[in-house]
Amino acid sequence: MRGAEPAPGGRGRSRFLPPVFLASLILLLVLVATVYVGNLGLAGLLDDERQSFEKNIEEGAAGLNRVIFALFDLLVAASGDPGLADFGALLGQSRSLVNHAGIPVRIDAANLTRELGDDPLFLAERLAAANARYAAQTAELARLLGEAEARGEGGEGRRALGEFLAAARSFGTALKEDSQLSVQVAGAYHAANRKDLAHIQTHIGQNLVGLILLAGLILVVSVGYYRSRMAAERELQNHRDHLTELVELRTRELGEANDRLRAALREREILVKEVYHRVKNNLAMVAGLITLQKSDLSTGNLGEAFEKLSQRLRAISLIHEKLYRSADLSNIAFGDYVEDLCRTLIFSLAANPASIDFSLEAPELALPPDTLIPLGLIITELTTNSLKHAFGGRAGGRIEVSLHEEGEEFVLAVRDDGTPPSDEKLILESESLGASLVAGLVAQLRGRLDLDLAEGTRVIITFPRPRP
Amino acid sequence: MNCPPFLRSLAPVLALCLLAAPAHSQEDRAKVIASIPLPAGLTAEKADLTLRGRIAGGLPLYLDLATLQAFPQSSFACVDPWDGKRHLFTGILISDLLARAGIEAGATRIVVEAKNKYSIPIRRADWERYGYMLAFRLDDRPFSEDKATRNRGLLIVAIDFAKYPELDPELYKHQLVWQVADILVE
Repeated sequence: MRGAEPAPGGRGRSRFLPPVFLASLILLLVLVATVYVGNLGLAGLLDDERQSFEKNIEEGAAGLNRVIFALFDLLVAASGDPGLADFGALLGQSRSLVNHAGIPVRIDAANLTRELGDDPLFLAERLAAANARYAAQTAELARLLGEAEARGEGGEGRRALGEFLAAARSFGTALKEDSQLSVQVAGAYHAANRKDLAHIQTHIGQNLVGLILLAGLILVVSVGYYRSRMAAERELQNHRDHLTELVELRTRELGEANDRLRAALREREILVKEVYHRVKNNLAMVAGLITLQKSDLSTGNLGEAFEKLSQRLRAISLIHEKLYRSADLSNIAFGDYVEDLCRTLIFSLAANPASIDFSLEAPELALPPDTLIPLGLIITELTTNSLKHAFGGRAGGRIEVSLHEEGEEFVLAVRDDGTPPSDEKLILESESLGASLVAGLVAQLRGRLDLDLAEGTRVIITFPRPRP
Repeated sequence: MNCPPFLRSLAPVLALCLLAAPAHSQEDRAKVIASIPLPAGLTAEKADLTLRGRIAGGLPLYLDLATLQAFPQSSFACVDPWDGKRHLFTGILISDLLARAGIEAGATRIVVEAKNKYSIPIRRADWERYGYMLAFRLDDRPFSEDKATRNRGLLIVAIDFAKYPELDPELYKHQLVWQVADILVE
């Protein structure tokens, strides 16, 4: 049916969508994997070891400060007391220095390379050396202090304290290098941190790009989904509209079929009524004919009378035969009917039918039975008359029947080339049944009858065109 | 390629000349450096710079500023990480100086020490690849002419951070020793 094809794009869209979803899924997985791997790298920047290393740097610097201040206090006090007179106080300050220096706040060189990677300043090596020297120096300081404390405030004790102070001075010189080293380690660590920061920023940028891609992807998929959804809905709407259209069409067709059936039924009813009417009319006519024939029984012989009645009834019968064979139940072709009628009459009445030259001249014309029955009876009467009386003594003759239209009237002419009667009154005013029958039938047609006896006998009947 | 046959026959010779050209100039430079006279009779106290360690002869080499200035000089401009300002550094390549001193092939690093005993090691790969400089002029003036730069001393180590962005100034600034007095080759 027209418009039954699916809406364009409906199926195509659904075929287009799965690759988009598949590509989206793959892209999504790639994005997630990228972000995950990147995050693994970032996680390494925040592990415990790194945090403890950072803490180590800060605490190392703070511890170094405490040791330097303790050393500074001791050396200032000692320089103000060259004879070590205040032995107890100096001993106390010395103990403070050794205690501070003994707190393990050294930066661990072992994981320095791991944190800093490439080590152009040889920090790991120098730190290891500095740590070893620091440990040796603090051990030596502790030993000398222990000796001074054991000897007590005497000559030997003061000499031991003097040795301790000398060792503390060279310890101070070494601390200067330690301080520089700790600054360099902190600087290197910060440089490494900045590198990590750049790495983090790159990673954030990558994540951002991934996020934008993801957003774009979601947008594309959403738009694709929305469009396919819209296409499906459009298709559904099309089908719905089409269905409605189809129902309307069918309803209209059914209504029209119903109307046609109803009209046909009405026509049949009219036709049946018409048939009853005609049967009634024909039976009435047959009854009339029989009544007329009965009055004629006294004058002629009985056989001839029945023969005439039979001829007349055949004319009526032929009309009905034509009627049921015709496609059109209400009209009969004039020429066809008259040809059959006259041939039958000639065949049954003429002594030698082959000697009778019959001709018919009529237009292609169909007439209703109401007109054709009187016409048929008139032609039967006139032809019978010609066959019986006109060719008396002759071997053959000619009979011509013609019908033509003249304006709103029809003109029927029946002519024979036989001997005409001496007086036309013999035909028109005859008491015979045939003459009165013809006169009655012409009256029934509301026509008039003329006679032309110039060449043979020519009967002309003019009647108005029957109303359809 | 379409060229006269005589040129084609000369091509190998021309190629050899082209290849030899840089080597030739490198050779010239080496010759120039080797021909620089080293001062005799300078003592540790009077020297502006002492070279020690794995050098030819094994004995300390005492140098003065005039000797250093006889080496091929060059300049570059970059931001100094210590004051954050852009300066023009002028001086000689440490590699040239060490070549003249006859650095041993197996030596891997130097330890540069300042007058105040601040010291820092430098890898041989670094000073050779990145053209470490022993500078004696800042913005085309000796350090002593400017109050702000006087404490930097007579000689400083300078690195072209503009030319080598892969060197992180935060880390390498510790090698920018001021008042360089002693270089120990190890």
